[in-house]
Amino acid sequence: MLTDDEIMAQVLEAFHQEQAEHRQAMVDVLLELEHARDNSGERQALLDQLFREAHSLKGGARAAGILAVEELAHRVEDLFSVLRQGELVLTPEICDPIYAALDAIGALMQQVSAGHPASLEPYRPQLEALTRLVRETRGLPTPLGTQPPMPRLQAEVPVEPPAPPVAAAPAAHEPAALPASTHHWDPAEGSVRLTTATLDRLMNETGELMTCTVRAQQRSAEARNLADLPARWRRTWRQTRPALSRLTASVSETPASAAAQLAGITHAEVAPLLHALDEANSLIAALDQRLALYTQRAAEDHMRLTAVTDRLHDQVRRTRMLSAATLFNPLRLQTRDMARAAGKRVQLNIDDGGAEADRQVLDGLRDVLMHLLRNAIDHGIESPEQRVAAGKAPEGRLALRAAVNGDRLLVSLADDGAGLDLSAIQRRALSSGLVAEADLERMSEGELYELIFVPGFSTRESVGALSGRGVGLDVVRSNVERMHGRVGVESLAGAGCTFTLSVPLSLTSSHGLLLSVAGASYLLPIDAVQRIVPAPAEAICIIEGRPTLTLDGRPLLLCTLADLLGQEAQPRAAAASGRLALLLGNGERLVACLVDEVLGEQELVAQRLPAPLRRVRGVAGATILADGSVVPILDAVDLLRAARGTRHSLAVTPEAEARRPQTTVLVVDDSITTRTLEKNILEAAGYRVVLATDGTEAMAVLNQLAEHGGCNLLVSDVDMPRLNGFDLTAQVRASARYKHLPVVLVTSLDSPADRERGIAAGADAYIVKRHFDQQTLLDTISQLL
Amino acid sequence: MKIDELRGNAQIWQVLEQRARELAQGERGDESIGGEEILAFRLGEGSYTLPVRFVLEVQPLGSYTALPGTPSFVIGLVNVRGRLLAALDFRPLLDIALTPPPPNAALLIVSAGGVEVGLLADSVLEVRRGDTALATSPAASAGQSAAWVRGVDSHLCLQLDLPALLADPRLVVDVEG
Repeated sequence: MLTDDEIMAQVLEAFHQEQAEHRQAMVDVLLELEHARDNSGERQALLDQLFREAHSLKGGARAAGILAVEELAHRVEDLFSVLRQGELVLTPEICDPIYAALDAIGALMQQVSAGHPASLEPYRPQLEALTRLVRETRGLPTPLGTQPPMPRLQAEVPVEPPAPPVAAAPAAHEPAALPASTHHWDPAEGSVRLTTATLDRLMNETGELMTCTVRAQQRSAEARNLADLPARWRRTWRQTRPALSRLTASVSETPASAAAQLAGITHAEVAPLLHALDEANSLIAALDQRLALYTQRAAEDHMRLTAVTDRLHDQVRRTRMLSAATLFNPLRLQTRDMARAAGKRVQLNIDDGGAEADRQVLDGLRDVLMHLLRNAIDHGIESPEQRVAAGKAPEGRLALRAAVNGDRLLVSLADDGAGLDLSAIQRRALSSGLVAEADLERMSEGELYELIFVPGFSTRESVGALSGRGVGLDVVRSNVERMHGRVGVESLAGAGCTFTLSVPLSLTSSHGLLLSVAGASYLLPIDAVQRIVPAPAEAICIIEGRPTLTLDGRPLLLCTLADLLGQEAQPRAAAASGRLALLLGNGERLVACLVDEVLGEQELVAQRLPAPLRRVRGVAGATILADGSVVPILDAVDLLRAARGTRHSLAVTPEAEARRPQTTVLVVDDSITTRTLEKNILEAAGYRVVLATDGTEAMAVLNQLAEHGGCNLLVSDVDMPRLNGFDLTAQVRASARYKHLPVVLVTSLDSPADRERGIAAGADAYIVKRHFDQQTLLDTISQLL
Repeated sequence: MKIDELRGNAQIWQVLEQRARELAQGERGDESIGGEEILAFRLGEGSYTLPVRFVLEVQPLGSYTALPGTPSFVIGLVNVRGRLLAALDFRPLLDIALTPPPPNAALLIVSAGGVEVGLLADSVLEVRRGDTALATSPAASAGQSAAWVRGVDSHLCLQLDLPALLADPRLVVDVEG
């Protein structure tokens, strides 16, 4: 027996799904009507369908006891009734309040599902807009600001029998037959509705079953290994068997054999001992036989379990698949709204190609497509006047297509607008400092288009320069990459541009590399890893204060996974040599990432992080391994982002430094703290550091150094005994030998006068200690060398 | 399930009508005040209680997987019979310093408002009837307590309002990429 609450929950859930279908059906029909040419027969059929959808929506809302929705649906129904009787002609202006009312119903349903009461109050304007249309059409006065009395049949409990779809309607004349709703759900078809949460749970259970399968495989292997033990006994038995036989024979011949007497064992005891050995042998033999049988059966069971689990996993995966149409169709309304807002005329052609993909994948693509659609409408499609002038149809065309290729879903969005502006992209790339002028000339057209996806390329300021094309496209790319997908663009000037997305059909099952970092295990999706390369000490050096791995003659930013995850660097882990590095990212954004150990490749069923965790930086989800342990799945997009912003904590081994020409820096400061700090920073960055405590000593050290490889740069304090920094700088500049030596003054004195005095003395740079951070120092030094 | 189908079901209609009648009679008295069964547990220096009806099970903390980049109240992820749950220690939310969990620490699997998590407990003390009258907690007197601390009972345990605790917006970890 179901409880009251359970039944209401079921009613609500049923209605929640039903209303969404009715609303979508109405939107689809309305859009069709807006674009349809005058074909009165077809129009009438569509209007009839609209009326029926609204009527069913109203009935369902009444049954579910959601009066606010019922009321809105009622007004929409009234309006459709007027429309289909030909008293009013459907125009975009009439459609707007209908769309608004349908959106309001969606919002109300969200409130109801979240357990809040649905209040009609915020939606009075939508309600009144509809009422006004109907009343004006019927020649009734519209009371301003007041709600007209509603014919309410049942207020509290829905006891009215369900209205047959065809019969009960306020209209006087009914067509003989109405076309069947395309969204009608027929129980006779043998389908059931499931919540997506149920499917998620099923998927998780299947994942657990898969780990059980792996455990069964381990058990089976263990059973097979057990066969070694009886085998060892058989060998022992074979070897001792002749001796035992002799002993048995001698015991039966002579009552007290010499051998037995030696151990103080009587004759009466020897016979049972020998007998026990024989018995043990036959027991072990029997055990061996049964073990062999057991092993065989365990292996068979494991095979069967694996086969069933794989099939089950595949089928559950399929049940989670939705047609790409479920993603595309709602976009038609959004496109219409965006186009109206932008004052453009746009026709969206949709071809889902029969493609299906996991719900999670389609969910992830929704925002991406919205973004691309908005870009195409706002900046790709020209105004009707411009289009006509360019010899195009005034109505812009957008084509949204889907296709399946192997295990990937391909989605393309093409517009027939102006295309990307190459020269604007070049200007923008130069002005934002992303690309040097020399590089720009070498770049192919395709490479230039790729720039629009680079973070920092598109900013609000660039809207004008670039016709806004590419605003936030870096977000599009990171969203797609987070789904292990790729995004590309092709453009033809004047003819339009096409964005193509390629994502896996399902996010739940994939392969990952099991990594060990500072004693913890992590999985990194294998798609994210370009290569695994050794990171020998001689390939690692410091460039511009950042650790770098040279690979195939190309320097790559090197970091440790622990750094990227924001973990404290372990002393052991900080030593860079003799380890493996993973190459992450692609093209210009390639980063080498050091890991302690690669434990292997692993098939994984990714689970989302449990509540209350929504999004954790660097972690995309987690999976449960065969041994029951939980392993976080890393988010490669976050790691790359972290790599670009990282400060190194990587210690370069002495061998690595010895192999490159050493840059010697003389640090002069009377404070031991400052000397030590600067020495550590500079040595960590790969410089050889020599110290002096004041200007006089510094001059002496410089002279010594001249015979031992020389000095490349001088970093000096200002306020020092004997010879201060200004005077030291002046002396250096005055000497023929050191006049070209770069000098950096580091000081706590920060007045314009001091700064000028420093520069006048001949210093190349002046760093104020208050602003002192190690990167400033390193950057300054690397600029001067 | 389709509305029409529900409407066609006599049993369901009976329940719906029953519900309508009961709604018409107004609200019933709230029986949940006082005398509720509570579970008392120890965590660090303090003792706490929460209503038993929210506790699905108690299990040893066992092994857990720490997550990088999460606030200190997230201990990590645990596998509870094939399900992934977050293990939490609510003390940082009360500005109480963390102490490392003892070797035999327990995990209280609790659920409210559709959120299921594991709460760390150093040890479970007992299950008993809760007090109906509570004293104001010292932190609350100072105006610094969380809304989900109901008060202090006669055993000097802080009584926690679990649904409110799990609904605390500070618990939600949502780092913008």
